[in-house]
Amino acid sequence: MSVRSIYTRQLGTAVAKNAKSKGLIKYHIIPSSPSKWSVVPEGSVRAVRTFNSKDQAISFTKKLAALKHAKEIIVHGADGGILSEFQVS
Amino acid sequence: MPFETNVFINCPFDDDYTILIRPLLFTVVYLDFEPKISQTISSSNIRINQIKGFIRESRFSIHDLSRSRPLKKNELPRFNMPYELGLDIGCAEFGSKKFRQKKTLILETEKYHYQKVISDISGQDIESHSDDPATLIQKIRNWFSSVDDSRKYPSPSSIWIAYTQFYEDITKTLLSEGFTSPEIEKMTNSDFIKFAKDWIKRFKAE
Repeated sequence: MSVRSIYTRQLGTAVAKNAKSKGLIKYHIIPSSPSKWSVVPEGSVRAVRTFNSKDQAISFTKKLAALKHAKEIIVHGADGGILSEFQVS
Repeated sequence: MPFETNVFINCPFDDDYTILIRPLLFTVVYLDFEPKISQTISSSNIRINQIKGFIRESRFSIHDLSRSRPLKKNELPRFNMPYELGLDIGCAEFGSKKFRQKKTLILETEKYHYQKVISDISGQDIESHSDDPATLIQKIRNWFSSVDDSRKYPSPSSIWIAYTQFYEDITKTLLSEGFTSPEIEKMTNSDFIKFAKDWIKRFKAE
Protein backbone atom coordinates (compact mmCIF):
# COMPACT_ATOMS: atom_id res chain seq x y z
CA MET A 1 0.00 0.00 0.00
CA SER A 2 1.52 3.32 -0.98
CA VAL A 3 0.65 6.56 0.79
CA ARG A 4 0.41 9.76 -1.25
CA SER A 5 2.99 12.42 -0.53
CA ILE A 6 1.58 15.70 0.81
CA TYR A 7 4.82 17.72 0.96
CA THR A 8 5.34 20.58 -1.48
CA ARG A 9 7.96 23.31 -1.29
CA GLN A 10 5.18 25.87 -0.73
CA LEU A 11 3.73 23.90 2.19
CA GLY A 12 7.20 23.42 3.66
CA THR A 13 7.75 27.17 3.48
CA ALA A 14 4.36 27.84 5.08
CA VAL A 15 5.20 25.54 8.03
CA ALA A 16 8.73 26.98 8.37
CA LYS A 17 7.41 30.56 8.33
CA ASN A 18 6.01 29.99 11.83
CA ALA A 19 9.38 28.87 13.25
CA LYS A 20 10.45 32.47 13.78
CA SER A 21 7.71 35.04 14.10
CA LYS A 22 8.33 38.76 14.08
CA GLY A 23 7.99 39.85 17.69
CA LEU A 24 6.87 37.73 20.60
CA ILE A 25 3.40 36.38 19.86
CA LYS A 26 3.08 33.31 22.06
CA TYR A 27 4.36 31.33 25.01
CA HIS A 28 4.63 27.55 25.23
CA ILE A 29 4.12 25.54 28.41
CA ILE A 30 6.04 22.31 27.95
CA PRO A 31 6.29 19.21 30.18
CA SER A 32 9.87 18.69 31.26
CA SER A 33 11.18 15.81 33.30
CA PRO A 34 10.82 14.98 36.06
CA SER A 35 7.21 16.18 36.43
CA LYS A 36 7.95 19.84 35.74
CA TRP A 37 6.40 22.41 33.42
CA SER A 38 8.60 24.89 31.59
CA VAL A 39 7.49 28.26 30.22
CA VAL A 40 9.21 29.04 26.90
CA PRO A 41 8.76 32.04 24.57
CA GLU A 42 8.05 31.20 20.91
CA GLY A 43 11.23 30.77 18.87
CA SER A 44 13.43 30.10 21.91
CA VAL A 45 14.84 26.89 23.37
CA ARG A 46 15.33 28.32 26.86
CA ALA A 47 12.71 28.26 29.60
CA VAL A 48 12.08 31.55 31.37
CA ARG A 49 10.79 29.64 34.39
CA THR A 50 9.89 26.08 35.46
CA PHE A 51 7.07 25.01 37.77
CA ASN A 52 6.06 21.89 39.69
CA SER A 53 2.49 22.03 38.41
CA LYS A 54 0.81 22.86 35.13
CA ASP A 55 -1.70 25.17 36.83
CA GLN A 56 1.09 27.23 38.39
CA ALA A 57 2.77 27.46 34.98
CA ILE A 58 -0.46 28.59 33.30
CA SER A 59 -1.20 31.19 35.95
CA PHE A 60 2.33 32.66 35.67
CA THR A 61 2.28 32.61 31.86
CA LYS A 62 -1.07 34.40 31.63
CA LYS A 63 0.35 37.31 33.61
CA LEU A 64 3.64 37.29 31.69
CA ALA A 65 1.91 37.13 28.30
CA ALA A 66 -0.32 40.11 29.18
CA LEU A 67 2.73 42.08 30.32
CA LYS A 68 4.70 41.25 27.17
CA HIS A 69 1.71 41.75 24.84
CA ALA A 70 1.84 38.12 23.64
CA LYS A 71 -1.35 36.84 22.03
CA GLU A 72 -1.40 33.10 22.72
CA ILE A 73 -0.42 30.44 25.25
CA ILE A 74 0.00 26.85 24.06
CA VAL A 75 0.07 24.01 26.60
CA HIS A 76 1.78 20.87 25.28
CA GLY A 77 1.20 17.25 26.29
CA ALA A 78 3.72 14.49 26.94
CA ASP A 79 3.76 13.58 23.22
CA GLY A 80 4.61 17.18 22.29
CA GLY A 81 1.12 17.83 20.87
CA ILE A 82 -1.29 20.60 21.83
CA LEU A 83 -3.10 19.87 25.10
CA SER A 84 -4.90 23.23 25.34
CA GLU A 85 -4.48 26.82 24.24
CA PHE A 86 -5.50 30.23 25.51
CA GLN A 87 -5.91 33.57 23.78
CA VAL A 88 -4.50 36.47 25.78
CA SER A 89 -6.67 39.56 25.75
CA MET B 1 24.83 12.59 1.62
CA PRO B 2 28.11 11.30 3.02
CA PHE B 3 28.56 8.08 5.00
CA GLU B 4 29.70 10.10 8.06
CA THR B 5 26.35 11.86 8.52
CA ASN B 6 23.86 9.20 7.39
CA VAL B 7 21.79 7.47 10.07
CA PHE B 8 20.02 4.21 9.24
CA ILE B 9 16.77 4.00 11.21
CA ASN B 10 15.28 0.57 11.80
CA CYS B 11 11.94 0.93 13.52
CA PRO B 12 8.32 -0.24 13.24
CA PHE B 13 5.64 1.38 11.07
CA ASP B 14 2.85 0.77 13.60
CA ASP B 15 0.37 3.59 14.23
CA ASP B 16 1.16 3.51 17.94
CA TYR B 17 4.82 4.18 17.15
CA THR B 18 4.05 7.55 15.50
CA ILE B 19 4.50 9.35 18.84
CA LEU B 20 8.10 8.06 18.92
CA ILE B 21 9.20 7.98 15.28
CA ARG B 22 8.49 11.69 14.77
CA PRO B 23 10.62 12.96 17.69
CA LEU B 24 13.27 10.42 16.65
CA LEU B 25 13.42 11.74 13.07
CA PHE B 26 13.23 15.35 14.27
CA THR B 27 16.20 14.81 16.61
CA VAL B 28 18.33 13.25 13.87
CA VAL B 29 17.58 16.17 11.52
CA TYR B 30 18.03 18.76 14.30
CA LEU B 31 21.51 17.36 14.97
CA ASP B 32 22.36 17.83 11.25
CA PHE B 33 22.33 14.15 10.38
CA GLU B 34 20.49 12.57 7.44
CA PRO B 35 17.90 9.92 8.38
CA LYS B 36 17.74 6.86 6.12
CA ILE B 37 14.44 5.11 6.66
CA SER B 38 12.56 2.61 4.50
CA GLN B 39 9.18 3.71 3.16
CA THR B 40 8.35 0.63 1.12
CA ILE B 41 5.91 -1.67 2.83
CA SER B 42 4.43 -3.43 -0.23
CA SER B 43 7.34 -5.50 -1.50
CA SER B 44 9.62 -7.26 0.98
CA ASN B 45 12.22 -7.79 -1.78
CA ILE B 46 12.49 -4.07 -2.57
CA ARG B 47 12.38 -3.19 1.13
CA ILE B 48 15.23 -5.47 2.19
CA ASN B 49 17.41 -4.34 -0.74
CA GLN B 50 16.76 -0.71 0.20
CA ILE B 51 17.69 -1.51 3.82
CA LYS B 52 20.94 -3.20 2.74
CA GLY B 53 21.74 0.00 0.81
CA PHE B 54 21.03 2.14 3.88
CA ILE B 55 23.31 -0.10 6.01
CA ARG B 56 26.12 0.34 3.48
CA GLU B 57 25.58 4.13 3.27
CA SER B 58 25.30 4.91 7.00
CA ARG B 59 27.96 5.30 9.67
CA PHE B 60 25.31 5.52 12.40
CA SER B 61 22.25 3.38 13.01
CA ILE B 62 19.35 3.43 15.45
CA HIS B 63 17.37 0.22 15.94
CA ASP B 64 14.19 0.40 18.02
CA LEU B 65 13.26 -3.12 19.06
CA SER B 66 10.50 -1.96 21.42
CA ARG B 67 7.75 -3.29 19.16
CA SER B 68 9.41 -6.62 18.28
CA ARG B 69 6.83 -8.55 20.23
CA PRO B 70 4.00 -10.95 19.21
CA LEU B 71 0.98 -9.11 17.78
CA LYS B 72 -1.33 -11.76 19.31
CA LYS B 73 -1.03 -14.20 22.18
CA ASN B 74 0.68 -17.49 21.22
CA GLU B 75 2.17 -15.94 18.05
CA LEU B 76 5.88 -15.55 17.41
CA PRO B 77 7.29 -12.02 17.73
CA ARG B 78 8.13 -10.06 14.60
CA PHE B 79 11.72 -10.73 13.61
CA ASN B 80 12.27 -8.10 10.87
CA MET B 81 13.87 -5.52 13.13
CA PRO B 82 16.22 -7.92 14.99
CA TYR B 83 17.13 -9.40 11.57
CA GLU B 84 18.05 -5.95 10.20
CA LEU B 85 20.01 -5.21 13.37
CA GLY B 86 21.95 -8.43 12.74
CA LEU B 87 22.70 -7.36 9.16
CA ASP B 88 23.98 -4.00 10.41
CA ILE B 89 26.19 -5.48 13.11
CA GLY B 90 27.43 -8.08 10.61
CA CYS B 91 28.38 -5.30 8.19
CA ALA B 92 30.42 -3.59 10.92
CA GLU B 93 32.04 -6.85 12.02
CA PHE B 94 32.85 -8.45 8.68
CA GLY B 95 32.83 -5.54 6.23
CA SER B 96 35.76 -3.49 4.99
CA LYS B 97 37.76 -1.09 7.19
CA LYS B 98 35.32 1.77 6.51
CA PHE B 99 32.47 -0.17 8.16
CA ARG B 100 34.41 -0.65 11.41
CA GLN B 101 33.60 3.04 12.13
CA LYS B 102 29.90 2.17 12.32
CA LYS B 103 28.09 3.05 15.54
CA THR B 104 24.87 1.35 16.59
CA LEU B 105 22.23 2.35 19.12
CA ILE B 106 19.59 -0.17 20.18
CA LEU B 107 16.41 1.16 21.77
CA GLU B 108 13.86 -0.72 23.84
CA THR B 109 10.95 0.25 26.08
CA GLU B 110 12.10 -1.39 29.31
CA LYS B 111 15.67 -1.50 30.51
CA TYR B 112 17.39 -4.88 30.13
CA HIS B 113 14.45 -6.47 28.28
CA TYR B 114 16.55 -7.47 25.30
CA GLN B 115 19.56 -8.61 27.26
CA LYS B 116 17.22 -11.26 28.74
CA VAL B 117 16.08 -12.66 25.37
CA ILE B 118 19.12 -11.96 23.14
CA SER B 119 22.03 -12.04 25.54
CA ASP B 120 24.50 -11.86 22.61
CA ILE B 121 23.62 -8.17 22.09
CA SER B 122 25.10 -7.21 25.43
CA GLY B 123 28.14 -5.05 24.73
CA GLN B 124 26.16 -2.94 22.25
CA ASP B 125 24.81 0.51 23.17
CA ILE B 126 21.31 -0.24 24.49
CA GLU B 127 19.00 2.42 25.91
CA SER B 128 15.39 2.35 27.11
CA HIS B 129 12.92 5.15 26.33
CA SER B 130 9.83 4.06 28.34
CA ASP B 131 7.75 5.04 25.25
CA ASP B 132 8.25 8.68 26.25
CA PRO B 133 9.20 11.14 23.43
CA ALA B 134 11.25 13.49 25.66
CA THR B 135 13.20 10.53 27.09
CA LEU B 136 13.76 9.18 23.58
CA ILE B 137 15.18 12.54 22.43
CA GLN B 138 17.49 12.64 25.45
CA LYS B 139 18.78 9.09 24.85
CA ILE B 140 19.43 9.71 21.14
CA ARG B 141 21.17 13.05 21.71
CA ASN B 142 23.33 11.64 24.53
CA TRP B 143 24.29 8.62 22.44
CA PHE B 144 25.41 10.78 19.47
CA SER B 145 27.37 12.94 21.87
CA SER B 146 29.09 9.87 23.35
CA VAL B 147 30.10 8.28 20.03
CA ASP B 148 30.95 11.44 18.07
CA ASP B 149 33.19 14.02 19.73
CA SER B 150 33.77 15.99 16.53
CA ARG B 151 31.26 18.69 17.53
CA LYS B 152 29.26 20.24 20.33
CA TYR B 153 25.69 18.97 20.68
CA PRO B 154 22.72 21.07 21.88
CA SER B 155 21.08 20.02 25.15
CA PRO B 156 18.33 17.36 25.15
CA SER B 157 15.82 19.87 26.60
CA SER B 158 16.49 22.38 23.81
CA ILE B 159 15.71 19.71 21.16
CA TRP B 160 12.53 18.71 23.01
CA ILE B 161 11.43 22.36 23.28
CA ALA B 162 12.09 22.90 19.55
CA TYR B 163 10.18 19.70 18.72
CA THR B 164 7.06 20.83 20.61
CA GLN B 165 7.06 24.16 18.72
CA PHE B 166 7.51 22.35 15.41
CA TYR B 167 4.66 19.98 16.32
CA GLU B 168 2.33 22.94 16.83
CA ASP B 169 3.44 24.72 13.66
CA ILE B 170 3.14 21.73 11.34
CA THR B 171 -0.23 20.66 12.78
CA LYS B 172 -1.84 24.10 12.66
CA THR B 173 -0.43 25.02 9.24
CA LEU B 174 -1.54 21.79 7.59
CA LEU B 175 -5.00 22.00 9.21
CA SER B 176 -5.34 25.58 7.93
CA GLU B 177 -4.37 24.34 4.44
CA GLY B 178 -7.29 21.89 4.47
CA PHE B 179 -5.60 18.67 5.60
CA THR B 180 -7.47 16.54 8.12
CA SER B 181 -6.01 15.24 11.38
CA PRO B 182 -5.89 11.62 10.06
CA GLU B 183 -4.07 12.83 6.92
CA ILE B 184 -1.51 14.61 9.10
CA GLU B 185 -1.13 11.54 11.35
CA LYS B 186 -0.64 9.26 8.32
CA MET B 187 1.95 11.54 6.69
CA THR B 188 4.90 9.54 5.33
CA ASN B 189 8.22 9.67 7.16
CA SER B 190 9.74 11.12 4.01
CA ASP B 191 7.29 14.05 4.07
CA PHE B 192 7.82 14.55 7.79
CA ILE B 193 11.59 14.75 7.29
CA LYS B 194 11.19 17.39 4.53
CA PHE B 195 8.89 19.54 6.67
CA ALA B 196 11.28 19.18 9.65
CA LYS B 197 14.30 20.22 7.53
CA ASP B 198 12.54 23.36 6.25
CA TRP B 199 11.36 24.33 9.73
CA ILE B 200 14.67 23.63 11.52
CA LYS B 201 16.63 25.63 8.93
CA ARG B 202 14.52 28.68 9.68
CA PHE B 203 14.35 28.04 13.43
CA LYS B 204 18.15 27.90 13.72
CA ALA B 205 18.71 30.93 11.48
CA GLU B 206 19.65 34.09 13.35
